[in-house]
Amino acid sequence: MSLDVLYNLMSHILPFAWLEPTFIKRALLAILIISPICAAMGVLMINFRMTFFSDAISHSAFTGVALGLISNANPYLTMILFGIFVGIAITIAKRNTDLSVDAVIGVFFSASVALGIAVISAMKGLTQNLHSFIYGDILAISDTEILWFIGLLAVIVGFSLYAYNKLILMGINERIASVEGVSVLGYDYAFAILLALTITFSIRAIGILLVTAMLIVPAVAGRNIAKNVKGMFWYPIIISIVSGIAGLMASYYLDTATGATIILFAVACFIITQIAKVIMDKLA
Amino acid sequence: MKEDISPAIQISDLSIVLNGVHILRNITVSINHNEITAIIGPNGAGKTTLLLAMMQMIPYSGKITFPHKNKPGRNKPRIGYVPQRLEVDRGTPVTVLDFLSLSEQRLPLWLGHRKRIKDKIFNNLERVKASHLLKHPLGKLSGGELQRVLLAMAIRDEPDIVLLDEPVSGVDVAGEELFSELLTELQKEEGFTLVLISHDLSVVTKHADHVICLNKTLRCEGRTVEVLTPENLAGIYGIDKGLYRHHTESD
Repeated sequence: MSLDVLYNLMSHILPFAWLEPTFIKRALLAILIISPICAAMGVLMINFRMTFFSDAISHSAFTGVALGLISNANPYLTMILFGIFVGIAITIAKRNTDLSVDAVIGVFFSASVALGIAVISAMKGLTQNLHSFIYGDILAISDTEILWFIGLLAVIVGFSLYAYNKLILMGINERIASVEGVSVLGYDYAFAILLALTITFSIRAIGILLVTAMLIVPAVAGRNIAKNVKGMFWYPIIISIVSGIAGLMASYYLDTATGATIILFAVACFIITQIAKVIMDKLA
Repeated sequence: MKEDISPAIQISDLSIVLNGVHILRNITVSINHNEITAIIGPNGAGKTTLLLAMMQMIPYSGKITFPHKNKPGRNKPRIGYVPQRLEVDRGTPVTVLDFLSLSEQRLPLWLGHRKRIKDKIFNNLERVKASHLLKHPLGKLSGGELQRVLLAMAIRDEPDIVLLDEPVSGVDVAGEELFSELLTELQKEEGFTLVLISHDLSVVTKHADHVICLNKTLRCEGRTVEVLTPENLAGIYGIDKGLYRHHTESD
């Protein structure tokens, strides 16, 4: 399905020189979809203290991609499926063993990265294919991938409408959530799967190395200035979108990696909001 | 109409094994309706585990039933629960209003608060003398303030049973007494069955009607004045344990 109608509309609304090429318009559209997804899931990820989990999923992409490359399947698809598998496996282990969460994630992280690197190193000539996965390749995004991103956005919006309050309560105290009728186990698995999907989809734009930063940095920056749950949700989204657009534009002119440039703008936002927080706390 | 005198909670031959360890063995006890029951015992006695079993949160063998008739319109008792602690970091933007809305409001909080819910929460906080905390961040509350907020959550919607796990563990002595007075007052006004785990035997003596002594098995239980004897306390906690009354500024 072609999104040409959308790109023509963008040309009218945003008649800037840097947005002229269609691949840039595609990249901008992808950012406008991925940024709020990452921000919203990042806030919940911090709520659940799962930043290490995010690293495990993103690094498991090595094995997911390797499985795709050696089996001649679509490596993006195998990356996503393997990421979901790792997310579910970590959640099962966390719920059914005495091991600490960090220990469980550490084991899965190590195993999945080691397996991926071992497979890739054994299959000569595969390493060149990994560049776009490690650093992201948002400028090569296709219309089909954008439609998948829109699908993920719809799912995340629906999940955020239905389950957001329950998830925040679970992060504060699971026992209270359970007493209040929340199906803690069900939502734990649902969140793990959606987080795995968010991470593996975002790897396309940001890359394995920086995808966790895409979830964390806008969320933490937004928390600095939020005064309640509403602010804690919307400020990270605004910061993520602004960083995304600024990063794309800057990377176009500076010829830098788009994913990394976006993260640098997000970090700049974090520094600004941290200063603002310190000033607000002193004035209070 | 004949008054219902059946117990609020009936525990029969309850045993709990977790990861191969016997946490509780053969517990049989009744908890009366509209009374304050304290569960006492040393650390590791299984007190919290017993509370979790009452809330059906962990697997157990034996039976836990709720024979007493519930408030109208309910086919099972509404249980309010106050945990020992919350996992909130000091910098969280979640306010008291946000926290209490999480289980009340279907609309996600990122779309704002419904006025009706906000008013209800304010009224609940007034009942626990904490309405001034409505907009306070959860992470910046003192131990005593947090316990009041948790109590406000537990007592909403006319609970049948309220369970508290060491409600005054993070509170100073004066605060403990104030909180215990508040609890007793609310229990008398609302008529719910109150079960609390407490290490503070001074509080237990003053406020509890019924005491259950646990140390993996049921060591003793009954009316407070009959149960809290030096012999029983020695049996539960070890030798040379006795009761010492807190001295507060009013003494």
